[in-house]
Amino acid sequence: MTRVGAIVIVFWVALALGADLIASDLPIAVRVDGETFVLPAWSRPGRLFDQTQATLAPRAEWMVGTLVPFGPLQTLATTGTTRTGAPPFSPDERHWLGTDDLGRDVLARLVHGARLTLLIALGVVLLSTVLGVLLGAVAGWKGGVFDLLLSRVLEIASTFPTVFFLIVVVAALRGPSVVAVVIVLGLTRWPEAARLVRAEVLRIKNLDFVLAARALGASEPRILARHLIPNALGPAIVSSTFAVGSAVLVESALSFLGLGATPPAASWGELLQQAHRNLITPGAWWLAVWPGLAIASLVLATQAVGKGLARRFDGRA
Amino acid sequence: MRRLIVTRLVWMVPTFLVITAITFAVAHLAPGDPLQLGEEATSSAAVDAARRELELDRPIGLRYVTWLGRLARFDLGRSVVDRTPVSSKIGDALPRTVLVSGLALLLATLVSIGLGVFLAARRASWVAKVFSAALALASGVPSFWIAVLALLCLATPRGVELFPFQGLGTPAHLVLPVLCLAWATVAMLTRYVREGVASALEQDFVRAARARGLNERRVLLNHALPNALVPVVTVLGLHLPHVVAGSVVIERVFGIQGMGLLAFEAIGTRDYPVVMGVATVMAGVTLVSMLLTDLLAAAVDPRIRQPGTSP
Repeated sequence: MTRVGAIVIVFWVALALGADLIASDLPIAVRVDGETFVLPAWSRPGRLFDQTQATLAPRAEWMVGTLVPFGPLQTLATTGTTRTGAPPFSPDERHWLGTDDLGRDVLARLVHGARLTLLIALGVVLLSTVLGVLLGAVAGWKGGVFDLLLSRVLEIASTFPTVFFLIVVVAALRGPSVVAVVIVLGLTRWPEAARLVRAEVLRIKNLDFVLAARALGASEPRILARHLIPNALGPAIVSSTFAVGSAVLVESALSFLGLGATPPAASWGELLQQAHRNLITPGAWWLAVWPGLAIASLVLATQAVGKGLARRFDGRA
Repeated sequence: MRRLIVTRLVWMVPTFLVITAITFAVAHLAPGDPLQLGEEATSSAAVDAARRELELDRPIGLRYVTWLGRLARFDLGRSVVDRTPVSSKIGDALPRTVLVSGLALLLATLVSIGLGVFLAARRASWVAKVFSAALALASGVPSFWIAVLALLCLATPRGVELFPFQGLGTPAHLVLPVLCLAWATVAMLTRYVREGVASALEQDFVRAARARGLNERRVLLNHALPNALVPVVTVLGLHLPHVVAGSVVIERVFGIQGMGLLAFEAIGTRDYPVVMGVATVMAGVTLVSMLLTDLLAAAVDPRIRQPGTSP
């Protein structure tokens, strides 16, 4: 299961990194009017402004297109879809997973949404793990007042009503902000790592190798950085793997509420929000099914990898 | 027991103060104030008067202290938008949130204990293996996705119209929201019950009970389960903030006018008193319910009741 989970994570990371090579309004490479453009989706040259793969194809000398010839922001006006009625459109041979209610390709938005989801999840986990490891290690090492203070702060942070606080932050900022989400979630999710590292440091701080380092005259920062933290990191790494999964869940819930991603950015939660808007007419199941599967697959994959890591660290101890 | 309650109560005060102070600071230090929204045409004298009425002209520390003083008298101020007291808005919304989350928690606890005991007792059977795999899958599936799918399948013309689409009112309205909110808790809690009962079943006191000739049912329910419940109660307490957070999403999906939707709608109008009031009351509710689970843990575990006597 761990291997399957790792493969799924690598798959989503690859999609996130290569989103522009998989789904884009502009091709990977094209030669048009005697000029060659490589990866125009990144450089956005002025000459290809308001061009798409569909409009370039007949004029180009040669063209390497993307698998999905639509960008995440391309609406009905530019996709060249000629279906009757109003979007959202159900899956067909042009839009493999259907379109949302602006006619934007769901597959393109899923692929580009992976980028935002992973970026937020990694940001949250990085911030909370670094904070938790540092504070937990210092508290375990120093003990005394510092330790007491940290346990009180831990208690407060673990009861903090994150979602309601984010509502306050979004109200104060006059709109959703990805940075705000990362900071608020990061600042409320570090207690777990801190608790684990603190317990590990308490366990190892009187072991011989630490005493030896002290006897050799190593400075306190050096003992912390070179001896205590590397040896106390195991449980925190396992828990941060699980934290990636729960950050993905929270991020998609926040984007679903409109508190996370800023429109028109593509995000999985925002697709589910559209599914919710279009439940009665026309009952757009494709807007609900695909992003949900994406979220679940990523969360389950991180859990499988986390379990595998936990087993490995337990075996070592 | 009394000492535990007193310590817990005393610690709630600084926790509550820190949470509200941070929330208050973020809400009030942000650039701009509610009067700048859509009232460009009003004269500056009128704006000044309104600002004085809302006390936006005073320093923030002072405003926080005044706000705390009023809170002690259950006065949360008035909505900036329609000037109705915030407490009456919350009085309407809070019972709905408590009803839905309370039912969900109750259901989740009962289902988790039943299912967990069953899975522990029949560990080797294929039914238990299928259930365990399903639980592992369920823990990765977001509850609001299940909620949207449930609406699509069970409340819209595309599926079967078994349940009402939005709002609260009849018991039928409660079914889907409660089930969806209980989802995540069941997925998590059942595993704790199963592990707890399974490890209790391997211990000496269970072997002793079996040796005395007690039937398997009594061994499970009277010996193994009570010992497995202690960590379960603690986990439930730690999980409470997640249930509260989940209720915001569930309220949005099912159009329930609870605390989540109230705060949510207040964002758009920058209605600080309402946003602040909801955040404060929810912080209070969370703290009180965590206190209750702590007391419950003490009630099921004598070691917590009398600190210092543990082996």
